[in-house]
Amino acid sequence: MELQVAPPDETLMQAFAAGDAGAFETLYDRHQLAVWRYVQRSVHDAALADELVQDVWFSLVRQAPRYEPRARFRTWLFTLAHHRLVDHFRTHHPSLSLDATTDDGASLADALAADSGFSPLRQLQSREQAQALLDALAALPATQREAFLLQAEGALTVTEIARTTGVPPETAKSRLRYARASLRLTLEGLL
Amino acid sequence: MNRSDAPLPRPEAPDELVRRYHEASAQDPARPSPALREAVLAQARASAAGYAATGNGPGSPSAGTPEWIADNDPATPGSSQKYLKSPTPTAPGGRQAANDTSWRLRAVASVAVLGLATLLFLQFERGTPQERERVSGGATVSSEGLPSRPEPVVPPVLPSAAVPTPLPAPPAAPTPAPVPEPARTQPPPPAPAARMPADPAPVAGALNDAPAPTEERRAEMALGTAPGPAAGPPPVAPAAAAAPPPSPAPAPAQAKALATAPAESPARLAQAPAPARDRDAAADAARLALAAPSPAERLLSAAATGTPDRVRQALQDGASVNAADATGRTALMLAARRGDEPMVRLLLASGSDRSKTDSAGLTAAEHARRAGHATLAALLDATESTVPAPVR
Repeated sequence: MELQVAPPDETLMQAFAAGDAGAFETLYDRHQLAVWRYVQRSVHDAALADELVQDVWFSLVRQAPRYEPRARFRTWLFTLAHHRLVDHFRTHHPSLSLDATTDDGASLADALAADSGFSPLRQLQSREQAQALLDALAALPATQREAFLLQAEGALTVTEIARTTGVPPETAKSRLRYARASLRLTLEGLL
Repeated sequence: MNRSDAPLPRPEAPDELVRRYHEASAQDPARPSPALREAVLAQARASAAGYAATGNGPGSPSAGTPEWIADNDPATPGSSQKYLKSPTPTAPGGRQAANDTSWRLRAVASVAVLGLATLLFLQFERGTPQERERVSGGATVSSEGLPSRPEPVVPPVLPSAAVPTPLPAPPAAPTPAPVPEPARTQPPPPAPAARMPADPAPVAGALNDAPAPTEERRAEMALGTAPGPAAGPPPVAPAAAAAPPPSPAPAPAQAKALATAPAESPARLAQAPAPARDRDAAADAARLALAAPSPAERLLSAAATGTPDRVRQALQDGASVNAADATGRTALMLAARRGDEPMVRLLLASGSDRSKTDSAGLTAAEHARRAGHATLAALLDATESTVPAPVR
């Protein structure tokens, strides 16, 4: 029996740009949940996430003829989603910003310095614990939360996170580090 | 080891924290709506058909498609951040701006351009109507800083006998074109760059936002009024009366320095070296050359430019020999500032009042002394009986 290797995202996208609707469906099924979660955990509203994610995919469809595989498809997809979120926050929540360049992490940094190490995380025992982790994620500063989501949902590297969010790599790295440290502290309190 | 220096886990191998997150997400019942999938795939199928038909051309999104666009080049941080919520589809290759961080640069540049335009406009507004006319009239400027209009100095109302003869003495004698009176009262559109190289001193003065205008500034302002007693500008600052020592610095270099100086105090202007004074005289000539063609104004212009024939002609035309500009400067004072002894003698012989003072309280002798013409100042201080008759 011959093992079939799934075509990479970039190939599927080029196939779709050439008129292959099935290639797009494969792409969509491969990434739709990650993108949706990334957006939904940013806006905390499933219906709104549907609307924004639809915009993201529509935009991707529209720009398919101009797509060039110069970067990972996933990076591009999450960049589109990031832009859509920024646009949404700028329009509806001017006080919030996903592209802010400042981080509210000083107190967390102090806490990290006092914490000598993390204990191994055990499996989440209950639905309440899982929800507590997601609540802790939701409580993060928007920029830190986004950095973690781009890593966890988008599987992006620090460089890709920086590129996607339009910040220097050091900034992206700092955001991600604070987010992860904060979530670890939450998990240690749960377990 | 500082925990903040710990290496981040590679996303290709999800770490424990990410796994815990995915575990939590798996227990999260929130999911995208099935309608979302249908809508997106329907859109994709429609577009794919269009792409197949047009050979990878752009699709034709439906009317209900959201119109926000994102650049498709995430590999380039600058371009990847460009997107815009636009009411119309974006042309391929078009740049979007709403999330474009370069808007800051454009905003700063716009503010800078606006500020420069405002500065130039304000400088233009501070000028006299004659200066504005000069700017708007496109008067060419000679290398000596004087306008070089070819028209003769004959007002339209004067007989043709008033055509002057060629002038020998001063460099690039100005010959202002006659301008109708209403034209002088209407400020033309600003073109201040045309006057900046012609007279650096006023430019430096204009750049200085000191509360009281400099003497040069007042001289400029004076040109827009009819001859008569001084009216308008406040007295000059006491520091302006200090006589400056001569300086060997060449005039062009100094003019350049003055033109580029951000500010110029009255005291510094008063201490201008000899080349600067020469330039002042040239500036007087240039400004007065543009005066209105009334006899009194022509007298002042001729005295400032050192053209005795025109002085005589103006006096014949009825100009008062003691006519003064808005700063109270008479023809005698203007000639004294230039150190033009023959002109001074001519004006004294014509009955010019040497005791008159300008709005700064300076007599003609004091003007000459300030400008470094001690001999001429002594001549002006002398009694009337000791003044010899004009040579010419």
